[in-house]
Amino acid sequence: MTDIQRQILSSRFAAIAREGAEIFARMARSPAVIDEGQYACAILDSSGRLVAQEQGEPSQLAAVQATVAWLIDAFAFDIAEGDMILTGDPYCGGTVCGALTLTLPVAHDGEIAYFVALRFTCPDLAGDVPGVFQPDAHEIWQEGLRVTPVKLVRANAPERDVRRYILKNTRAPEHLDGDLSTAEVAAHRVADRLQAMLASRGADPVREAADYRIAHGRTRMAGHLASLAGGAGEATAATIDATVRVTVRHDDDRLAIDFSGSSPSSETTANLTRAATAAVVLTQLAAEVIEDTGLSQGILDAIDLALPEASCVNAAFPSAVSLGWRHIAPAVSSALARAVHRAPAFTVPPPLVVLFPEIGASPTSLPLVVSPGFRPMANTAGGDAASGRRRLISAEQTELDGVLSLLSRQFEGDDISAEVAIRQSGIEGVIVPGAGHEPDIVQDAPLSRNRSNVLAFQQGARIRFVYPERREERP
Amino acid sequence: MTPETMIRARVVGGGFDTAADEMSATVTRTARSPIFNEAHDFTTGIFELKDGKARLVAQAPGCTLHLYAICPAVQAALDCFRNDLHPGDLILASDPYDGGTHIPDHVIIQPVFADRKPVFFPVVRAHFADSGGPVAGGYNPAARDIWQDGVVVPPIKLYERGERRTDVFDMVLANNRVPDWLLGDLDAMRGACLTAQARIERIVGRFGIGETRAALETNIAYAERRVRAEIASWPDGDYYAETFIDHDYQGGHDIRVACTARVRGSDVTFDFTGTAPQVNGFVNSPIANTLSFVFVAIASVIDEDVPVNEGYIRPVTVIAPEGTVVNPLPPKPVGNCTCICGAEIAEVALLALSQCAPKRVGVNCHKLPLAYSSGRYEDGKPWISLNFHGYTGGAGAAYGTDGWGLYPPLMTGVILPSIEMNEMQYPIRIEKHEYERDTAGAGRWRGAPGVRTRIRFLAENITNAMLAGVRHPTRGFCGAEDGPPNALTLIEEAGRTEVTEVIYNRHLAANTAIEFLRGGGGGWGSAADRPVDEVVADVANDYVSAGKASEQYGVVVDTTALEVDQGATDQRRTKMARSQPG
Repeated sequence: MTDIQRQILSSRFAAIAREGAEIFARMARSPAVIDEGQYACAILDSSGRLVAQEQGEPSQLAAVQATVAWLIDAFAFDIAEGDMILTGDPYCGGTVCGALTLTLPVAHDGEIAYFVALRFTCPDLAGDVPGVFQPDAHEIWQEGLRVTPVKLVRANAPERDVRRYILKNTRAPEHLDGDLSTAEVAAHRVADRLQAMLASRGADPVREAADYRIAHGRTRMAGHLASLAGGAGEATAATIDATVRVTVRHDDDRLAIDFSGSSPSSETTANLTRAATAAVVLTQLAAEVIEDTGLSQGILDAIDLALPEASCVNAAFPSAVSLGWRHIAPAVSSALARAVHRAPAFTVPPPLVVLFPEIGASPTSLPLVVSPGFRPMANTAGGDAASGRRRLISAEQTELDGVLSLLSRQFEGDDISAEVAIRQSGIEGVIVPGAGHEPDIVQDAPLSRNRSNVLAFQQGARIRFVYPERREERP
Repeated sequence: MTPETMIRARVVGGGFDTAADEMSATVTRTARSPIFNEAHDFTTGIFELKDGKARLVAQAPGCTLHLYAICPAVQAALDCFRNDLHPGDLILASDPYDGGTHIPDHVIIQPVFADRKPVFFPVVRAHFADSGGPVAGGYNPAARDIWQDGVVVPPIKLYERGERRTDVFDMVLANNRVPDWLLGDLDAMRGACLTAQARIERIVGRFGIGETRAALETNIAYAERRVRAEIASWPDGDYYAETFIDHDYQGGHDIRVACTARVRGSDVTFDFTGTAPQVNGFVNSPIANTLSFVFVAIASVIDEDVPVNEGYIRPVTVIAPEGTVVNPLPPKPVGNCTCICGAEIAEVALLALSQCAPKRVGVNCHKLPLAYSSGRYEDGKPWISLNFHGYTGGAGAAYGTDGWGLYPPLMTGVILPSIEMNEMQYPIRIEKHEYERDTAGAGRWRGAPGVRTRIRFLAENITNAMLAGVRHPTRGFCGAEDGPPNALTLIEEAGRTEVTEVIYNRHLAANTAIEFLRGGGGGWGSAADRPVDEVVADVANDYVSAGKASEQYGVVVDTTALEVDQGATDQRRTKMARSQPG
């Protein structure tokens, strides 16, 4: 096979993954997917090596491969064509409860040749508060259902009781059911494309192209890493008492990143799993390579992470983790940036409110994640790298479901401010901590609290968000 | 019916009863969690599939409040797997809105085949030490929807054709804080079902499936006849009663539970029309729980030798309007329903029956001061304690007997773990556990005295405590006094805190103590009718003070000599009789 043929097939993997992601994103029902870009589609080989991945935002970067590797170990030789496996557990290669990965083995000549994985965040997976953010949690069971690797389909027969179990433990069953079905469709499309490629090109050339793709990523990554400085960095989380310490050192063509000395796991939700920390590292240190060549195992393998057990960057089971991305990820990004003398990719996350119908008032509810702006930065457009494909919701869409009115959204000097009003009665919500500037809430009656951070909003209550200008941080 | 038929029915029925008993023993001897092997918070039974419906054919004495709750749970599971059952399958379920009560009470169901069809279903219903969700142990007083109660488990197969579904099993364990306990408990429950399967197959092998089923039908008909005979002895009529739930822990207070017992011949209908709408807090009772507590009341008025099976249930109809606290709609929380408002459902049914069958009602008690604690042993493994000793006491009187015993009779087969075992299993010391003077509802027959229990924690922990039965304590019957209210006190280094309703997810330091006062049971009949010598005996036993003997019973006792001042007593009792209505 010529280099050009290898390159064509290699690109074909990327195109197939992109097609799977597009199919999913266009058909999915959940706002987290549509508006926030919280999805990914990946192709892995039979050993669980990542061949190609397309993702909507960076928290998915390392979790797909880690999750698939985990489930391959979990099922060992009990995976066959016709199976479909669902996984959604921070302690099985994941990031947060509610981020689900649907994995489909693709067989060729009777052997599993590839895996297709669709990952997405669902609107709710039980837990203490509607939605995936659990401000009061201190252990994983409070954050939602743990979906350890489980077969949704076995030998082409749907495991209806398993699906029923999952759907019984969400406040938004129609959305989750729809997204699961969409993920199945997208995964099958990717599998069909792979089968077609295998049929037309043969297994060996395709395998060779996959190896080439991984090797290419590794080569590009090595060249990129060589351009990075080594050193040590430290950053303190802006919103909680946690410090991230990091040492970056070159080790041949790899980068060894040691987080020794970072704060221990928090008893709050401010913890990152191993896969989440790896995603921050990749975003901070390899975004340009990923953007250029697409993510592959070659890129993942170029970085050695030393993550102390039971630390804020490698949470100890059963620590809660739902707010690690908001609290700890910016600190990881900052510490790394200082170590390698670059600007941090992540900044303090945007102010966020999750609204939902009064808990218990309706049999289903779709949490509404509200953050109607972004932190501006001179000479750039949109949010920071952590925002991925998150899009700014239009005023019309903000008001579409009748819960909110967007009263204003405008520059105030170098900052952006936005204000919304709640149009319905019986709305509750939580302010998701982690932003440097928490939203201000204006209403006549006090916000009642029900032994938790849940707030009761009045009809007409106003929520004002301020997004301060991002200033480029240079070490 | 020939004597031979009757004898065979008893032999077969006895075989099934024994199989259910053996299931119970198997769980006790092989389970891992103290809630199973010490407290016996489980019930075993055997169902038969007939005309597409699951019907109870045998049940071992267990936790009475599981009495009926098994039935809809089994039906829901069979509906889910109607054409998908195989020998060796094992189903787990706990869905309050599909046959369940509160989430911690899970059922395990195994089909037993005969003539190539699933005919019998050994079932274990048991209270799991944890069921995921926001609060360890499954009682979340802050819950406002079912997902805040815990992880809902619709019927799901743990085993298929005898093979463990490892992925499903792992997922169930992953959603539990004490998976080591749960693993052992699930194995014990399965072991019990396999034991029953062997016994059932032996019976069927000996008598044949046709004879076996005919014999079971005879037993069911017998139970039905006995229950109908009891109901027929009550005068026809509509008997209304109401009682109240103190609070729902979410700001709702004095929540009405109303019931009309409608007796017509040998049928009785319990109609809960008039009951308050469903509430925000976790005291709602899903329909299976409501039915179960109605049968708790029924069980206490039926002779104890009547076999508990489908026949027991047939003469009884329950009307529970949808959207009320006794039949809520999803997703209202229900986590505390097996205490509150289960207690009120049984109580109001008994209060209604006390008007037509006064000599049959009694032993009302179930309004518990509840506290759940969880922490970690020194090796990091979690523990979850129900603080069982704090719930003890409170039995009401019945016609012919004072309230008796230490443990709430409604729990029947549930055993109070020994203090020594509790102190070995949990980092606690039980410093006090004793009857409290003047805490029994007065009556011709008085309630059992209340019990004061102080549990000191040797390690830091998180505790949730829920007080009930304060403004509306356990009711007495037929003119007797109610039991005194419960109380809960938190004793920390900084001082004592009287709990008024609830403490939620409180981090308690080591050496903190929690003190329960379980109010005594309500009485039966007028206190003025209690024989003087029995009042004196109560004073001598320190159940009743001399002051209360005079105030409540009109018996004036010289406490030094323990002698009655007959003149003063006659005078006082005459005065009491005059002041009584009617």
